[in-house]
Amino acid sequence: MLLQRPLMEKVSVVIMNHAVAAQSFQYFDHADWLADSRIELLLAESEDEVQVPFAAVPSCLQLASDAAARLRDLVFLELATPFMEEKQTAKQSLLQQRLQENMSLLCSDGDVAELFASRQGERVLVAGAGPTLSTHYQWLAAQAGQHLLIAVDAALQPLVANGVYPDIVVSIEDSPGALKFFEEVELPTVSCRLLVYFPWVHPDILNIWPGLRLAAYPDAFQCEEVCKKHPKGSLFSSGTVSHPAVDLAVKMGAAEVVLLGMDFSFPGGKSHVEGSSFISGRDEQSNDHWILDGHGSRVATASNYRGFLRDLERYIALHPQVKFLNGSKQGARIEGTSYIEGDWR
Amino acid sequence: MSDQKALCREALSAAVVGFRLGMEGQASENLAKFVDCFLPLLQEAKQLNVDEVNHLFGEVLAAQSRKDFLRVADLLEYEISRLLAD
Repeated sequence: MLLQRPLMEKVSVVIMNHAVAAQSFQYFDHADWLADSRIELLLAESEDEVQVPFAAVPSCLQLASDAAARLRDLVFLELATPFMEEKQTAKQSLLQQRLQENMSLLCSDGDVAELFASRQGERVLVAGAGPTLSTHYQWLAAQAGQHLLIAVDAALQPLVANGVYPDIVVSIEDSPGALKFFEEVELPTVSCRLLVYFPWVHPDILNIWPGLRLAAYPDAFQCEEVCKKHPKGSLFSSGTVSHPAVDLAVKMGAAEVVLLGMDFSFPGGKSHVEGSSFISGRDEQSNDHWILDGHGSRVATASNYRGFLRDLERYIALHPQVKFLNGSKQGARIEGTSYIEGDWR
Repeated sequence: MSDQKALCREALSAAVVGFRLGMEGQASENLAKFVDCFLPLLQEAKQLNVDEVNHLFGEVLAAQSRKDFLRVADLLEYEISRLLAD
């Protein structure tokens, strides 16, 4: 069909699974299109990004090989983008209302930009709420004070329960459900810590936080009037609190960012680390959605986790000056990170 | 009733497009909308064969769980849509 368009100059066909392609070439005659000089055959593993415009048969993408997993996810992410944007637009009025509710605090609270460039050249630890976070408790407790620890809100309770007190907690969720992350913590124990938040988090979270609060806007935030009146620094955000937590570490000047509990998958059949309010069981063997873990094995995931992972990888690719380390091979393999080996600590 | 059917058709059609184009979120949301619209019709329309409806939805769910979106779209467009025929 595409080749029938006379204006078509080149069609790049990307092979997503060598074995399936070989079988197909063996059993079916593809000469009609393969003979066309405008056709170029590419291997998925050689392609870092989706080229637009593109055409894909989503059902067939289920046959993508392990090596093509990243490109497959980027195609699905591209296909899901209009839907996600529509959802985001539909949420605008709620976000605006919440922003108004928080306006007085937004005026009086500090600016996340106060932290920028304050940790030049340092190693900064960022704790997500993935199941593998628990493998780091002992070391995190022992190293207290040596490296700055930034945690996402869902990781706060499990960290504190294990004697680890993050220096900065990041919260961005508009959902009242995020209150649980804070309600179950003995908040006086974190009273000297900072909360970095987006202006639509539930007001109760802001009110019960015992320490200093610093506001931030997401980088794609479109609300010029508020931003002009109450300028605050911005942080990268593409759907998960892990993104602004990592971006905060980078903007603080970290030379090395260590990612802990950022699994983007269900290692051990769990969605979150033990002790997190959001934890739920998942079928580890589920073939619904999968990505590769640090060992190169498939690990079950969810479509939104897959998108979060690929967006983080794109972010990492844009920051070659920073070394990103991944704390565990049990969770997602994150492109652009290396693994913590041996006696790194 | 006809308004309800129109809503059902609209949701079904959007679900079909979503599944064909790999827009899983949009497709699943519209499929859920369709089911919500369709249940009251099912209770009122005595000519519908409940066993057939169950069988078809079972096939839809099975295809959806194995990510065979084209099969889901085909079932919705050519089988389930028949249930909405006047």
